Amino acid sequence: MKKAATKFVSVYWFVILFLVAGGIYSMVYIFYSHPFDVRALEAKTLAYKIADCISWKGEINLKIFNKSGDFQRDFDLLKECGINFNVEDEYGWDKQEQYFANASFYGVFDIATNHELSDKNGKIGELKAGNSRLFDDCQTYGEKYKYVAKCFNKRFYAVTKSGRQILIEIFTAVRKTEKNVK
Amino acid sequence: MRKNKKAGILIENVMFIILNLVFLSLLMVFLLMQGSGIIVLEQSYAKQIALMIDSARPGETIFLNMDDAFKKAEKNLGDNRIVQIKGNIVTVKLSEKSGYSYSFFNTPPNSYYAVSIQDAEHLTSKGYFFNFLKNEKSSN
Repeated sequence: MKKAATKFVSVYWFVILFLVAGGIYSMVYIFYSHPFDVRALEAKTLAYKIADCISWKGEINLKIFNKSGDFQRDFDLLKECGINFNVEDEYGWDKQEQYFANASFYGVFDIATNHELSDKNGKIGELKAGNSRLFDDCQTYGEKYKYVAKCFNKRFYAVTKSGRQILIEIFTAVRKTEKNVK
Repeated sequence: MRKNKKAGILIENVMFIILNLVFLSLLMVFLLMQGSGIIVLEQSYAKQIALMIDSARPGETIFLNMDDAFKKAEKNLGDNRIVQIKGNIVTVKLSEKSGYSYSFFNTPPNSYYAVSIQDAEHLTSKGYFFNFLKNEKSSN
């Protein structure tokens, strides 16, 4: 009995136990110490919210293109869409906005005049809100910029009340790096 | 002599199996404790609620099952009010010393709709109701 016990409960046995336990502990610690990264979902949700605000059932908001089809530059994206870019006062976030949203409008096909406009060149206008520097972060590739911001791009077509066909491109970016990436 | 040797081998094997089982069960307990730890729960619920509010529309009611969080809070906090929403920041607090806050952007102006929380005590699982109330004065 004594022989068997000393054979298994030996120093080597404990060394192996500690090595295995240490390995599992460090793996679990590394896994759970990383925060859940929800920025991609946030950027997507923000883009869909803006899309719903700009166009509902395929028709563009009258406050953006009025009845005669003119683009309204003074449309307040945040106020009109019920969006608030304020964030918690941590990591100096109060000094640097953590969100960016941009909606660009391109003329595609004018039903009224039967005049077709070129896709990208027919830019009518754009609406912006938030920290525009985040746009550059998403255009820069490389290991260093990988964690800076998460972005989402969405394109869709809608029609104005006057029958003007518009291509809408929505770009959103969420930073919040400190709470989502380690 | 041969009988003693056989008994020795049996004891060796039994001890080996028992030690392995003890070791594995301790590891399992550790893993489960890590996964349901206060810090992990606070962060995951705060972010979950923030995303839920972001994607919600006026008039919607969402129930979030927070059974595990309530159990932790009862043990450590002794209070049921574990979710707080101030402005556009949601805070989940499961113990005196901890707490996790996360902001959401879907905060309509005063004239649009509001968010309110209710305890769901009549349900078997404990959680929170998130009511996105439509304001009658709303123009939308």
